[in-house]
Amino acid sequence: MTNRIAELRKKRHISQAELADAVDVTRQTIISLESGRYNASLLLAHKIARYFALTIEEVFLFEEG
Amino acid sequence: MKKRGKPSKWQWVYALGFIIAGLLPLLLPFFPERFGDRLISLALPAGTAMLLCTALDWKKFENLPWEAQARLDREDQDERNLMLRDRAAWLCWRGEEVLFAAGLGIAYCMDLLVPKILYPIFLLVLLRLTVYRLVRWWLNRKF
Repeated sequence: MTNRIAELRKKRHISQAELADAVDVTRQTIISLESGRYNASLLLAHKIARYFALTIEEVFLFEEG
Repeated sequence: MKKRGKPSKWQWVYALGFIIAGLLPLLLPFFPERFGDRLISLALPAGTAMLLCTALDWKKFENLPWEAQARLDREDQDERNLMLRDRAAWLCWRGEEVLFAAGLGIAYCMDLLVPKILYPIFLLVLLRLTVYRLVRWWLNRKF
């Protein structure tokens, strides 16, 4: 699974710390999500998508296989 | 160095559990004397020390500014941190199993496994497996 968190964050000029504060996780979690080393839970994915006013599918890209 | 967060309820429970265990021989007259003396000298100081450390941690946390408290709480509940904690515990458990099996193998090869040693080890393994199965069953029902 890949995601567009870094892209969306940079487009809106939001820092990792600001995003982390908004979705109530640590900055390290945002770093790991952006680098693809960690997959968010459904709850966190929902919070992040809602923060960017997008759907989960628009932020998180599921790859078959 | 990373600051410690608010003590969990389990830290209080452990400390009080040790203190109660240490007080049991004093409260129950039928307690075996030799076992009781050892329990008092071990569990009571350990429980008191744990209680003091937990109280100090709690006091330290209470004295922190609101922002620092919120940050520590977040670090404690962060889903990635929880995942890391679970995985670390699981890996350590598997490692313990390997070390335990290796130790048993070495003891067997050196002819050290006399029934007096083997029986408590067997009981310990059985107890551990039973507790593991019970906890899994309980978690399976819960989730």
